Amino acid sequence: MTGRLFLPVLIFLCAACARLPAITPVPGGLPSASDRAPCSVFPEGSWQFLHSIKAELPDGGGFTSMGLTLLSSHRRTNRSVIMTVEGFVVFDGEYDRRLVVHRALPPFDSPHFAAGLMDDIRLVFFEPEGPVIAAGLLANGSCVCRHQAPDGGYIDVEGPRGGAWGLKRYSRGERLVRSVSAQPPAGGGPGFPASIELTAHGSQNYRLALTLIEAVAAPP
Amino acid sequence: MKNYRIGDLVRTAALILSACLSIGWGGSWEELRSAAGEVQSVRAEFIQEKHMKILARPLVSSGVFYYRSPASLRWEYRAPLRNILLMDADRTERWVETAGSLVKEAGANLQAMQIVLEQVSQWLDGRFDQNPMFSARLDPGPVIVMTPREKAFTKMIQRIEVRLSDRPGVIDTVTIHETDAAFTRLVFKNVVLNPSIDESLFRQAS
Repeated sequence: MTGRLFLPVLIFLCAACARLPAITPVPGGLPSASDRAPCSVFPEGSWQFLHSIKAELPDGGGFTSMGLTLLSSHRRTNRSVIMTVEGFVVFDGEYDRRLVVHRALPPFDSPHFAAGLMDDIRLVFFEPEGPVIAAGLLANGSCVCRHQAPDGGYIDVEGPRGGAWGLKRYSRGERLVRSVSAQPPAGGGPGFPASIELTAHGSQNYRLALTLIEAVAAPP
Repeated sequence: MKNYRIGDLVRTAALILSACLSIGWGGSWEELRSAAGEVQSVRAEFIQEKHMKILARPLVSSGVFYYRSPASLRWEYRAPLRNILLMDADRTERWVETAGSLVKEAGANLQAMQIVLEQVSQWLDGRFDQNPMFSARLDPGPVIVMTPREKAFTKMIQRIEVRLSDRPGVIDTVTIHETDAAFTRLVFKNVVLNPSIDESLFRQAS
């Protein structure tokens, strides 16, 4: 009985105590912060993505939906639409220096949901804001670039390794709050990840599994 | 103001479509009501186009649909994401393909389903003009235009247009206008009226 309790408690404590992993500098150094090549994993240009999204919620529930994302990497803008699997729009929001919600139906109509969703989408699809303050190798050998986020937190962009890449977001207090894992692209496509998994850590933990259905070049 | 759940809306939309497919062709409510009694089951394929002003190109999906009176429905998308909505008597289920296999999604709202089924029985009788959720008018074409009676519902659906085929009992398209900038069009093909449909199709997703 004690053993059964101990493991979850230990896992919880470890997660709560997560800290920034050490970065080992590479002899000769990675390219400078202005050259993002080693950690350049985000889509460039204007694109329309359609993903299926499987959500796993803290209460053990979950649902599947469709996510439409239109983005411009140059303008750092995005329009994000959540639809039922039948194609009915339940959320439609836009970010262009500020968040504008065009449509939000229950249960997707809380301001927290809109802000959180947009944060997650921008984390997955855009190069982080803020300067690169460290670059090198993690203990697992991954190439990593660490950004200092405007909110005082940190974002580590890892990879790519064999077409896969990862991303971790830490709070100002160095607590892990988001992790992202992207799988290598399916063959024949424009080279975007076939699937992306985002995990939110903490008391309101959830997991989103995105599977790419189509990627269409959009007008600039 | 009455609140509508998304699950209610999806089932309502699906059942409106099923009812539309099984009602008759005609130029008056009386003809619709008369033809309604002739149709006991329907099988049809469909192509669904999602149009939004922001899209570089429409989102297209396709599938097949089965209906049997009085209240059995299988609405199955086969591409791009396979998912199946099953309704049979007092039971409703949604199955979604995940990692290559169909997985049942929790959260089906049986109470909402009962409400919808009561409406379906009205639609199958051709009593569109007596529907508590939508007011309906019959335009030349013929086209049935349905608009929500309650303002709260117009935030979800502004109106539904059903264009009837020249072939009695068959419709060409259903267009669901969500907003001024977004609509969904379903184009039906290979519609078969009163086919024999295996009972298991309404009970098993696979």
